[in-house]
Amino acid sequence: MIANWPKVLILDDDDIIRVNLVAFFEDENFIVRSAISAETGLQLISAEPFQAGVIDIRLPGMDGNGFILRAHEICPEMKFIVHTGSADYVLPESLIAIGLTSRHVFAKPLKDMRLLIRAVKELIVTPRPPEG
Amino acid sequence: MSGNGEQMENAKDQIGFLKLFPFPLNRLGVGNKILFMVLLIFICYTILLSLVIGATSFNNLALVTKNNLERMATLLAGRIVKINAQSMQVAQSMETNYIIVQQLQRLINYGPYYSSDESLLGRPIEDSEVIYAFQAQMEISKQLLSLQTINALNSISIFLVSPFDMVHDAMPALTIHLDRKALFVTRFNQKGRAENPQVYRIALEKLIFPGPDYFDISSVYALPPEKFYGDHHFEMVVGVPESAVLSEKWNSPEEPRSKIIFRGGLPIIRNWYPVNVLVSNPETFMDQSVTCSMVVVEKVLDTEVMKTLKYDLGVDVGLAWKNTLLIASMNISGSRVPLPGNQTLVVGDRDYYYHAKPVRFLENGLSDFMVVTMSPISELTGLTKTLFFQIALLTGIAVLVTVLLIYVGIHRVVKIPLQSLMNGVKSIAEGDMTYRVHIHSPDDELGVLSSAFNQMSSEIGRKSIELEDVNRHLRSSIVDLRTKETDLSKTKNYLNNIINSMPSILVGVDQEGKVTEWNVEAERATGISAENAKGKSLNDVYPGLIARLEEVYKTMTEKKPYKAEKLMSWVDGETRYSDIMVYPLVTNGVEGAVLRIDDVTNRVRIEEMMIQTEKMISVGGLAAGMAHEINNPIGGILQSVQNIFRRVSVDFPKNVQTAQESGTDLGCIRMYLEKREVFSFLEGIRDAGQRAAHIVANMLNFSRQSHSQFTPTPLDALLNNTLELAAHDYDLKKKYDFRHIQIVREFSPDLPAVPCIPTEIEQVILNLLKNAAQAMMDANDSRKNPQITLRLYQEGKSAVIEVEDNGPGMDEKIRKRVFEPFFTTKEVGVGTGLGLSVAYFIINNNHRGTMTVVSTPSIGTKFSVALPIVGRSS
Repeated sequence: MIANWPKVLILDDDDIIRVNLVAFFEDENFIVRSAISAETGLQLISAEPFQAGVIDIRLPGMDGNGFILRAHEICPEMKFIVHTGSADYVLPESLIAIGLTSRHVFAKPLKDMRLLIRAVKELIVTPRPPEG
Repeated sequence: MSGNGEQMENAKDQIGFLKLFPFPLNRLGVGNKILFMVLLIFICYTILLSLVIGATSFNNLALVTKNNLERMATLLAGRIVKINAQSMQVAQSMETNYIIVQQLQRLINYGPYYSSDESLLGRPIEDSEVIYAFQAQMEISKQLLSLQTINALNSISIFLVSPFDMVHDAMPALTIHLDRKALFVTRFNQKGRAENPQVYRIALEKLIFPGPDYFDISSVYALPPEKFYGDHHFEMVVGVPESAVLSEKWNSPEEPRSKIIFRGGLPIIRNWYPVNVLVSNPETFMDQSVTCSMVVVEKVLDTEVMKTLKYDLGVDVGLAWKNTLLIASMNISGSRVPLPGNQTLVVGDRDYYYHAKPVRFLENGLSDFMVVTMSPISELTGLTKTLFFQIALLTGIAVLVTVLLIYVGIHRVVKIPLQSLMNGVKSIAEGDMTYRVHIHSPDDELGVLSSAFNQMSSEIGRKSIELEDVNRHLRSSIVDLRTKETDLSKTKNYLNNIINSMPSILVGVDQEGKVTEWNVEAERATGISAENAKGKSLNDVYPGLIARLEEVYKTMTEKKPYKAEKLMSWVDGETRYSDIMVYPLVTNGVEGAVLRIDDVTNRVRIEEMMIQTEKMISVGGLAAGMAHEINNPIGGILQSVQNIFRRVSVDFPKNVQTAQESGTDLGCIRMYLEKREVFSFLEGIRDAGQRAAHIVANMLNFSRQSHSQFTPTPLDALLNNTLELAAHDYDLKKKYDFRHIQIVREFSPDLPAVPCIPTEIEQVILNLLKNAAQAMMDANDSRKNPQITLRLYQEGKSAVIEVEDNGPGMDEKIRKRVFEPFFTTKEVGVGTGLGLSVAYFIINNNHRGTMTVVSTPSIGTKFSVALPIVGRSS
């Protein structure tokens, strides 16, 4: 039964944010994996499929935008939420092209993490072809 | 013409009788009076002439008519005789008609009347012979039918006569009778006898003659005669019509006869004609021409015949017997009209002239019959009337033409010269001395009068021209003066209008500082009218300028303009700004100055606000740079607090389980945390974190405009989303009790998606909702249920969002400043004073929209946000 819960990747280099998000999503019964950089995140995605990811943008090495594009190539069914502290963040055209909108962008500090849960659930429930 | 009194007097004396007429004849001109009289005489003449001609012509016409009737009567008598002769000719034609003669021979030679053998007398006629006779009757009938139709006869009858006295009862016996309705044929039963014949009748419309080859079939002669007659629709009858009865004894069959008889009141011409046929003499066996049948032809002289004659002759006709009209072409409805001796008779209600003439027939040369021709007298009357009217019309036209000619004559000879003379007198009376009368004919009285008049008028003209020259000179001088005066006052008005139309206060002063000019704007600003202000000291009427009076005098003495900007003053406790300019005036040595004062408070406020905005933008730039560094830790703080609250919540089974595994109870933990106020501290952390986040977020708002993305957004969904956010907002929930506020949504449907930055608009609306909630909480008015009305509609090319509360409202002073940065009515720590100015900034600066507020104290406040629907072009 637990195997059916959606799997979510939390990608953030800020420890306190990452730890809090992991705890919150786990408490909401998601299967949660976390990564401290885009590179390690991509390794996780290559290993197993994810339904959704909550992605920080400003990261050491590859940034969040680059990660989302690469991750979409590896796992096209994966959905993304951008969670950034940058005040001047603008969704690049490339991400809009794969279906992201301003509704999927959350600015830090996020006072209520339930908003993330709701956004992720909405994304996963969005109709897609049945597996198998 | 009425202008000449003297002429009128004369006219009255001369033709006083014109007063007899009801209309004012004496107002007419001389020419028209003559015309009128001529017209009158002609009309009388016309009426008399018409009456005389009418009466004479009636008598003449009557005479002509009577002559004509007599002539027509002769013709009519001839026609009647001719009709008789024509009938006789029909009877006569039988003798020369080959078919009839042949068939008569058959009837005689083989019929019942002819029998060479006396031994056969009285024996029944054989069936075949009956049919044979019938065949002959049919052939004859065919001929008779066409004769009857062609000659319009009423009946033809053929009676057989026994030749050579072979038959004992020699009375002529009917064999065929044809009238307008039916055909009768007679069948005999015994040879040599005409007694007890059987008569068959067939109506003409049923009559079908047997076909040409019918009798060629020998079998028909074997048919029983009854069946034979029956097959051809003949029915046996008893008796024959009156016209088929030979009423007189037949004595001498050799002579044809003609007679008029009466039947049913109608005169009928009846002709007898004996037909001779070659028949074989039984004794000599020689063919011999003998009378063997008699033809009787009848022609009824009825109304139809009379009508036909009437069409021929053109007059009404009739037939009289013993001086009584029997029948006529007009309807006399059966009554016998007597013929009086005076050549007129009455039929119905009409009078006729008539002429009667005896008519002769063949029989005995004398009879009491007369033909009558008639002509209605009313026709004559009608003709006379027409004649009368024609004469009247012709004469009328002649009169009109004559009058017209006379009119033209008078007009040319008298009226035109008189008129021009009159015009001349009028012109001189009106002052035109140059008028000269045109002289039409210099030799007559009018011509002499006209030339004398011309001489007189030229003399008067010369004098008055001299007088007029003097007058004209005087008049033009006056006009010049008046024009100059008008121009001057026009210029003055023009200048006043310009001065009064200025939006600035314009005040003119003289050297002593007394007011000389005071425009409308000055009246409006000070409440002192120009009348009151003029002549008073500037000090008294504009005390706000006391500090500047020195500058005014300085300007006048130095003759240099002076200018001061943004001078502050306090009006009704409000800071006002004004620009002042002083211009020196030098006109004809009189010195003075003009002051121009402009209230620039609004401009200054906007400038200040723009400076503030600039400041905000630079603050925003700074904030953006460090936002990432600050937001992450704040996020960490807030999210950690949220996780702590959740991890000690009994709502999660895992918390309960972990507590048990750790050898304690979640309830105990919660109780401890509560008792030691740990929850309160956690809430403190959260509130402090939120405040910090809020400040950073607001500062960031001032930097976002250049980077944010415009997305076409359905505003109704956005508003619903914002309301949901508000319901969950910590501040609203805790402090303002948002749940108790009634939310009314009035969204107009079909609004297009509006390009905007959704998060920013959400922020603006959330801010407005918070403001409304807070205002209503502060008022704490229990009489009203707090209510926020959220509206969404389209107005022109803008989408308008309205947030209206029924809170306490605000006064004008606060309302004007409500968008100013850091302006707040809230106590310290409650608001940053940035909320509404940020909202204003977002709408005006980032979205190129407008944001306005309307408020009525104790009624409520309404904020309106208008966003352009068309996308931003930049």
